[in-house]
Amino acid sequence: MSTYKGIKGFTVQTIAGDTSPLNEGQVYYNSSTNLLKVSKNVLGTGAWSSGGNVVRARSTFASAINATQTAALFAGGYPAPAGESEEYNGTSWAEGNNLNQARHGLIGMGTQTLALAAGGSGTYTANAETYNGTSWATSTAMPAGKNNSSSAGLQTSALIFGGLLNGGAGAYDANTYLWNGSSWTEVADMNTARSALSSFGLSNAAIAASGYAPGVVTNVESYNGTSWSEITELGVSRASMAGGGTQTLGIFGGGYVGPPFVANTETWNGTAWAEVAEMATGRASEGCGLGTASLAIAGENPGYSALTEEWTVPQTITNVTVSSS
Amino acid sequence: MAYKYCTADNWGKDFFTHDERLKFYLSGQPGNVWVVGDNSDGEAWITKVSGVSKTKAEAQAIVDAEVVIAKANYDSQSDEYKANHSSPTDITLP
Repeated sequence: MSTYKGIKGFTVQTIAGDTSPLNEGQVYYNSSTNLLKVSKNVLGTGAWSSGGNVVRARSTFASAINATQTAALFAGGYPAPAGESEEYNGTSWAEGNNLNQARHGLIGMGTQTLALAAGGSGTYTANAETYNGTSWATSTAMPAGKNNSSSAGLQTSALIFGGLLNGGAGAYDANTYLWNGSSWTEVADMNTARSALSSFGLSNAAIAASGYAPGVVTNVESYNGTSWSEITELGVSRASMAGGGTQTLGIFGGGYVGPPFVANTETWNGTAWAEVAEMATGRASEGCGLGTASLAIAGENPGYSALTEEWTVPQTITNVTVSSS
Repeated sequence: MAYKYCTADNWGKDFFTHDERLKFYLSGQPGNVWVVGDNSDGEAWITKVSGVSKTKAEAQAIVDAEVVIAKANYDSQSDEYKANHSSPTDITLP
């Protein structure tokens, strides 16, 4: 028979009375009330608050999608096309070093200190660049040039999917490229070709939603490291949403529905979408972070925006009684 | 739901907070126009951000002017840009 000690490596702690919350998931026995307790993370009500404005208003830039709410990074964008990057410290944005190739419609992966940006316009470039926390360096180009793709993952293991190939309207792409830190490999196509789609997750566990082809695409797909499969559609399909999170807890905010631009926010719990509190300013933007703490950065609505909004779900570690029934 | 209308420059961090967003309706529109839920918390927020009160018609006119500019900008863009974007449409304030 399995025992708690056999599974967890230690015994259930006995405490005379309730104690202040312990670590999430820790089990203890209250000897005063003869109740078994577990410390559980309880999520509060999420909402968007205003963050620092970006230095230069822009859209269709590369956000390091797995950067955090307090240490974010983006580069490039429109108008211009731009080469500047900006870093966020949770309060304000500061300009960093430029991309080697100024462009818009590029896509970002990784974190503030280890990032990757690839693709973009105006020449449907395949070029990629890595960021080490200070400067950008030219890296191995993707198999084909495209813009307005979406992404998941880190600098050492990333995924780029969808986008618009050279050829303009009608050349919507379903290809997926896997980056292993040094080279690109073409892997399973998405089921629905599109650009301006939105995403979150890692290279072996990603969610890709909606997009434009032309007109707003409703499909949402999940990648398991091998193939894409259709999953539940959003309540409100829309292109160019800000996304953040993992395959089991993620968020999309804003976007455009045809137009107009909308402020809708939906969270994903691994099974279903739930409509939650709207952004203050509906817009097409880029995002990063987690399902409980993410950013919607700049964008357009319809003019170029400098706004940042921070999505936060308060979390409280609470002791709950383990029921015997 | 009743609304108030104002213009205010979003200065960034803490222009509106998580707590404020749970207490009243707030919607940012082009031209720094803000649609604010008409309750005491919304009124306090307008004071906090030094919002300049507008009638609904005045606020709508500001938004309309911004959309005209955005449409002209869209029309001047490349086919590549238009393959990823739709033309801006009119916005009707609640």
